[in-house]
Amino acid sequence: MINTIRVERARHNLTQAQLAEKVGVSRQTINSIEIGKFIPSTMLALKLARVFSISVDELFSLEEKDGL
Amino acid sequence: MNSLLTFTEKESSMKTSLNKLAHRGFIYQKYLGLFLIAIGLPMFFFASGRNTDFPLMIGLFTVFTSMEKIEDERSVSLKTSSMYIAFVFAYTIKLVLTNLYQVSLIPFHMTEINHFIILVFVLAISVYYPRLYFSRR
Repeated sequence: MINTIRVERARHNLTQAQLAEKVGVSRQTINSIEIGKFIPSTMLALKLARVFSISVDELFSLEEKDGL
Repeated sequence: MNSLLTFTEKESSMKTSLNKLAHRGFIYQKYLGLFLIAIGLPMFFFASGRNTDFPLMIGLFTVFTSMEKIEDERSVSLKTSSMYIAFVFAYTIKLVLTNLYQVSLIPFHMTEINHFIILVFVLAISVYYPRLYFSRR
């Protein structure tokens, strides 16, 4: 799964720590999601999408290797 | 109706305050655990008698079950998987030690359940904290 969190963060001029505070997780969690090491729950994905005012689909998308 | 709403609001705010208090307690639990480990380590290695492994075992348990300042889904997931990894490794170590002891390659083996539990928690903590704080690829 790939995501555009880093891009959206840059667009909204937010640091990882600021985004983490907004959605109520740790900075390391945001970093792990950005590098694709941790896949967030639906709830966290919705919160992240809401912060950037976009849909979850725009923020997260499946890759070829995900098999669908 | 109004009084019912006010009661519900009060109850909800009380629950939130209790949750905050409990969360703070779980954070400070780590310091208690570290204190018990500091006492338990010399006792475990140097003291003789029964139950000398208890402070270390309880200390490790207390540290492992304590909460982080920001406890989120990733930390919970890492804690669970770290415990799983630790249990598998500890059991492997126990089996290897027992086999080596049976063929007289080493003079000791793990017989105490408390020692096994200590090993599991040591491994779980060693796996959990690096994974929690060093998440770079």
